[in-house]
Amino acid sequence: MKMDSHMIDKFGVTYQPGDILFCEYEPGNEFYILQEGRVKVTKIVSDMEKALDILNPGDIFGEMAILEDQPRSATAIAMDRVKVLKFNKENFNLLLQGNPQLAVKLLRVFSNRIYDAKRKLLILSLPDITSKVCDVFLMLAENRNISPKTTSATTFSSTTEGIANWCGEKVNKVKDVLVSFSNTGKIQLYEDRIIVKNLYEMFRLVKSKRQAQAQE
Amino acid sequence: MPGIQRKYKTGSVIYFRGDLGDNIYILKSGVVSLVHLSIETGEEVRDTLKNGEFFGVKSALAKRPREETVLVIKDAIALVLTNEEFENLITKNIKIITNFLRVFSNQLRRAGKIARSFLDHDEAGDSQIELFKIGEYYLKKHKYKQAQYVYETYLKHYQNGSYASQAKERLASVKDALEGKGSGTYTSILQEAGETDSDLQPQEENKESEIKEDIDIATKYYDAISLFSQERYEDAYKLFKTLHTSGSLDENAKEYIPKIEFEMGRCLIALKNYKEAVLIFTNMIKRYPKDDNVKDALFNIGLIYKHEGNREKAVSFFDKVIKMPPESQVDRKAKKELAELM
Repeated sequence: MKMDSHMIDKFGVTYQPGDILFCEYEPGNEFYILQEGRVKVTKIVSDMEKALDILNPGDIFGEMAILEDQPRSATAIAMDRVKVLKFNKENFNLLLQGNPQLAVKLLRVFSNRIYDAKRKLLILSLPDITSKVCDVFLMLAENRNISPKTTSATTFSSTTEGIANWCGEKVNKVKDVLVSFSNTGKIQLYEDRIIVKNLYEMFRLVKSKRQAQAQE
Repeated sequence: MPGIQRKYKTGSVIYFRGDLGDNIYILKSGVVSLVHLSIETGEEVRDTLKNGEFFGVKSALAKRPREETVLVIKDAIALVLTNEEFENLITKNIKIITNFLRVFSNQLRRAGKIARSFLDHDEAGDSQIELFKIGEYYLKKHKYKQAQYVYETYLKHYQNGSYASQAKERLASVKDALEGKGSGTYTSILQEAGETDSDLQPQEENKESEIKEDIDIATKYYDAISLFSQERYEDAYKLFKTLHTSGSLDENAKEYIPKIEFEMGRCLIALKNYKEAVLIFTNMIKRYPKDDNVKDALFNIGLIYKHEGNREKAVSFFDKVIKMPPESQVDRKAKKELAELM
């Protein structure tokens, strides 16, 4: 994304590798546009630091801060020498006026977030953790345009932390579910990926739970 | 104005919920209703649009299925824009963008609020304590630069916070470590979540290692299960065996022992070491007769006997499975096996 030098002078910040841009639970109301280098998004779960995402130039992050005064939900750490533009509520309008393209991009980011948030609600509203975990796989499949009726093995590059995050459950509980799925041959667990043998089976389970809920 | 005008007849549908499409619409005249599902109740909600209002924006921008069905209540005319035309239009009019941002952020906020109502358990920890704990984590891992950032951030926001004095001490020791003056070691005070929020006192070394051991066995158990699922039975068996030995020593790991024994049995079956498998299942059943896996263990022994051609013993084990309460999924499998053997 093109930014005039005036913007960079005014809002540009540089970080060295390993520098924290913001950390989990930190109060903050700035959002960032990554200009150069990569940023790792992490969370400390069960006394271990887990990477949730890696951001690349052009990515917008921390944008939830312009909405509400919630503390940060994750930590952002510079992986390389990183250049960002940093904005807050006050200079936001100024930014939009100078950069309508960025504003469009922000609209797109928010549109996607709303879809994700609503999809997450569907997962959360399920009655038990087993069906929640299944629904996370279905959601991940949807995002990749994979049919929920797939009966051949499907690979997901997700971590237990990521899944736990989507279902709003503790990592250990999610692991219990994955262990029982693994033991019944429904999935294969790898360090960096999970293979679901039969997505359709999960689809049917989630569907039946939703129908049962609708009848209540 | 870019885009093309389209006329819609009363009773027609402009698009259905679930449709894919990247057009964006502006209502010019007529009456149009959006039918969508409420995120609060899941019930159908109808909104009538005013002339000049946009629809289809979010789905078009996110390239996701439409969230609503658009019904034409009375002959309507809409301006249909492509994604690109829409972008050109709004970049010339920042006001539209800020409006959309406001609408979108309201929707996000609402969804976030409902999500939090589902997550009433422990998620809403005190962020002051949690922030401090992040610093403790980095300090423990000797990541001084990160620890320094967190303690400084803590002090910036909670100058008179409950852990302000600790944070200052930690900060001094972190700075020493960064300058190479000290080891930077400081007894960690990480405690289990929610245990105390009044005062975090430094703890003795052994408590911390205990917690660590506990995490260790849970993680390693999961790793071993992963190996099994990858059909690396030999590696899985080895890891389970190591865990079994260490588990016998550690109080916290006791609950894993029957599970580990059961899994070792399954590994042995996969490795075709049936004799050992029967032995380990039998021991497990004897020692932990109330464990959840007992029926599965009996079933597995039955399968081994069946495989070895010992019909009589196989039948007796499948029979035990069926007769043992409580009912479980394995009953069906045992009945099927019995039917085959009879």
